[in-house]
Amino acid sequence: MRALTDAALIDAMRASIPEAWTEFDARFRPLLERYAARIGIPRWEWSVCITEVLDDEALRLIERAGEVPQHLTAYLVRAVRSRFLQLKRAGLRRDRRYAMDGAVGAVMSEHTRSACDPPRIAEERVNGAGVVARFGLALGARLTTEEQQMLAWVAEGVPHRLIAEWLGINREAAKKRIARLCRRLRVAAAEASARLPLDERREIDRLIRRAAAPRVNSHSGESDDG
Amino acid sequence: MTDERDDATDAELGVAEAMGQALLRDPAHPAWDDARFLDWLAAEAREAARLAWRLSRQERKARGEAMMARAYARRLRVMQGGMAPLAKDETRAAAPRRVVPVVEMGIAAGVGRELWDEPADAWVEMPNGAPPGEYVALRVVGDSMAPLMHTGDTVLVRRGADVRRDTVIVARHPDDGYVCKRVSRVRRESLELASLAPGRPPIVIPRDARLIVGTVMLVWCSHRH
Repeated sequence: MRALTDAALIDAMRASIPEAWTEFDARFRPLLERYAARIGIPRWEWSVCITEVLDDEALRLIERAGEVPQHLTAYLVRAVRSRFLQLKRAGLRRDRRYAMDGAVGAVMSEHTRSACDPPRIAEERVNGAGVVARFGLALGARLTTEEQQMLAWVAEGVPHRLIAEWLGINREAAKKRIARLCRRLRVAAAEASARLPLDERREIDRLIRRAAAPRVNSHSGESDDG
Repeated sequence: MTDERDDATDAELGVAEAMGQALLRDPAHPAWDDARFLDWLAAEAREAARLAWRLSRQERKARGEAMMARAYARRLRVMQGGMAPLAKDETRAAAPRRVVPVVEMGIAAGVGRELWDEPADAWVEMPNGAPPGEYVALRVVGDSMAPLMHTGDTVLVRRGADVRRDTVIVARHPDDGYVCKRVSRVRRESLELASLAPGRPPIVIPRDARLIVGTVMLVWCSHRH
């Protein structure tokens, strides 16, 4: 089953072979979970955002007569994204309704309100992630698309060999470009943090310090040697 | 880190990684649409999850069946329950409105007898929060609705003749007795009913309220999913 192409897999699923459905799940769920973790979908929403999307899309794929989408992985990532955004919007609408229902809201205690409210999408609060995220976005706005892409690859630990291949340059050049980008960011981070309010600056400084600590399990360090 | 000019130090790399992760929190970051990156990440994530996915042949089959059942249940608006909650006699006496008789579909298929005239030898408890209405429970015979339903499962049917597409109904086929099928097409004069299991042609019955028993709301499946 592992060797099947996506289209052949869908065909097998259409024939109701249970193992093919398991393979479909095994092929895409780990990636979607990774995506969900990265963009900050809280764990309690994963069954809605991943399991249900996989179930629905599996049925939709076997029911449509034509060929499968050209790139199934990207298609499913988009499906998870839109389900997540849809949930988030629903949560926002709910909040707005509460804001309008001032009279009802006034007689409800905070506890009652949270008790009768279904769990909503909330950003998973990592310590200081908000500051870093805002900072990252501010920096990201000054980067070119290619640099942003490179940054994402570095963050996920894509080996330099592949980055070079994707950029269409040789390995040494890729290594140099990454190093240059990293150095620029480091300098920019230090500069920008000087302009931030004190508590935010502390977060950024902590980030820089943490990054400077010797790392045991660095994936990008060793990936290049092979 | 021998050559400072060619290689990022750990500190620089660390900042870059943190920034990259911050950027990736945006659900619409271009990397999330990049086919090469996604393929690589999918392989990587799968490799990381390899141990969790090491399954025996039976488990692979069971997992796939469970997924199919779940997917179809969602699509066809049927709830899934575990073992049927058989009601004891004292519950029946105490709260007669909370229990529903179970009828064997195979027996009920006899000519000229109505489903609800059958003597019931078992009763199930109604789930909490079921919408009001008249209910009957049926024991399924046959595997045409596998993987959602199997022989021996109990389905809870809400009586009523209104039929919607993509639901599961129990109807009486003019010739073949009672059937439990998915409504694949609703026409003015007729209904097209399809099976879930492959290789079974759809059947067409006239759209007649007297032939329709009702819509399946819940399936109690004794299979271990």
